[in-house]
This record gives sequence, structure tokens and C-alpha cells, in this order.
Amino acid sequence: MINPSHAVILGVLLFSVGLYGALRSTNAVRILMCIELMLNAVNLVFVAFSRLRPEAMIAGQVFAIFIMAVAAAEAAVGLAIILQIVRQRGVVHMDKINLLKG
Amino acid sequence: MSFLDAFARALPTLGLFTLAAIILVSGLMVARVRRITHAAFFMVLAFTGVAGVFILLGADFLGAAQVLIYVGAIAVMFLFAIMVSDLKELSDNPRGTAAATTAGGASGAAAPAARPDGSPRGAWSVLSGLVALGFAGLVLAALAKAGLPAVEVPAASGLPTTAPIGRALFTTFLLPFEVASIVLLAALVGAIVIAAREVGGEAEAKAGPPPTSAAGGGKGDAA
Repeated sequence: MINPSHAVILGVLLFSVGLYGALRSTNAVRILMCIELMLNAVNLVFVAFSRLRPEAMIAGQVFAIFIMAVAAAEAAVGLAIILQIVRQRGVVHMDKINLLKG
Repeated sequence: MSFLDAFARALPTLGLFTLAAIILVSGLMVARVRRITHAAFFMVLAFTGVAGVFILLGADFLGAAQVLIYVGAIAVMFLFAIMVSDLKELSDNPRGTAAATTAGGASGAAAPAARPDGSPRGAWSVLSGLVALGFAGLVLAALAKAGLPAVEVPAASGLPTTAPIGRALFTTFLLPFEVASIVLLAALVGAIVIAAREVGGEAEAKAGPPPTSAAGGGKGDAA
């Protein structure tokens, strides 16, 4: 027997770990990795809540599948953009990408 | 006998806690480890742990999809991007100081507080840690106030969820499914177009793509 509320708490903690990494690091690839961790945490919470409500079990898992599709698209486009920035400017540091001085 | 029974009943919870420890520690390593390649492999570990939690929660199809998509595709894509763009030399320090820390070797790794950048990075790191802790505390307090149900469900039991998920995808969620496929197609085409453009290729792009940029396109496909 297992308590899905524990998985909800795990999802919250994993999301805040990803938030910490995404705020902390200046490496663009590492920021993308941490965003992937946060998306995974949201998937975890979706599945745990769907387990808590049996009539919504399949709907929660389908939502998680959609999030996976969006995560794959986001990683592909984000890594392509980072690759192009590295080719053109030779840096992966968000502090150094300051052509548009905001 | 009853002890064995109790142990068998507590086994899924023990597995969940073990997986939670693995996931959280490797997530922290993704955020903190110095080399970006190591961070990618810790990300793989975290994804695998999440797949295990999915299977414990009875979402067997989702666990398999997690392994296939995240561990098999996204992590490999990250590693390819690190390899192609030669990012492994660049840690979280700017280029000049990265060379200094690698020259420093073990002493640089032993004293990460003494960054050449000075204190602002350290203060920023502490601030982001506080923000993340505050977020976690806020959400956990809200969950505690709302009252998470303490129901126990059987771990990884029931029918396989593949057939119901497929039925739901093609009936209830047909329109989101088609939209997701269009999003994936657009992202794929966009990623190839963005990554295949060579440096200084703007003049060439105006004059029409020469055959050399097609060779560059094959290289960009790896990303």
C-alpha cells in the first residue's frame, strides 16, 4: 500500500529544487535541465492526484503525456537556440548574453 | 509471519522514500555540480527515479514513456548539445576564470566559496535558495491547510493503463492530441532551421544557400 500524498510532497520538493537550480545557475544548458526537472515534478503531481481520484485516473496520466510532448519540443528548440548562440558568440552564460541591454 | 506481512505491506512506501531521496539528491546535484556533463548524468538519474515513482503509483505506461522520452531522447539530446557545442570546458564561471579554476584543480573544487567572481554570485546563490525554500514552504503550508488525504492505495496494481490511455487519447482528448502533434512538428522543423544556420551565414542566406551550408545542416540535425 502506498500513500499518493507522499508523491505530491515529493513533487513539490522536486519543483523547488529545480527552481533553485534555474535561478542560481548562469549556464544556459543547466537552466534548461532544471526546467526539465520542474516539468517532471509537475508530471509527478498530476499522476499522484489522479491516483487519489479514481474517476480521474486516466485524465491525469493523459495530461502528463501532453506535458512530456511539450517538454520535448521545448528542449529541442531551446538547445538549438543555445547551440546557435554558442556558435555566434562563444558563450553559454546568461550574464554574457547582453546584446539587448535590458 | 505477521512481521513478514507487515514488511511486505511497507515495502512500496520504503521504495517511494528511497526513490524520493535519490531524486532529490540528484536534482540538487544537477543544480550544484560543477561540470555540466555530470549534471546531465545526474538529470538522467532523477528522471529514472521519477519513472520508478510512476510505476509505484500504478501508471505503468507513463513510467515506460518517461524512460523512453526523458532518459532515451531528452537526456541524449542534452549530451549531444554539450558535445557538439563543446560546452564541457565551460562551467558556471566565465571563460577566463574557468581556465583558472581548472588550473587550480582540487583546491578550486574544495573551496567553491572563493570564486573569482567575488561575492555577488554567492549572494545570488543564497537568494535563489531562499526563494526556492520559500516556495516549497508556501505550497506545503497550503497543502497542509487544505488537508492532503491519507488514503492508501495499492501500489502498482490494477489493469494495464495502456488501453484506457489510448482510448482516452482518441476520444475525449482528440483535439489536444492533434494540437500536440502539430506542436511537435513545428518544434522539430524550428529546431532544425535554427540549429542548421551557420555562423556568418546571413549574407549567404540572402544570396541563396550554397552547397556548403547543406553540409552544415547535416551537422545541425544532431541537435
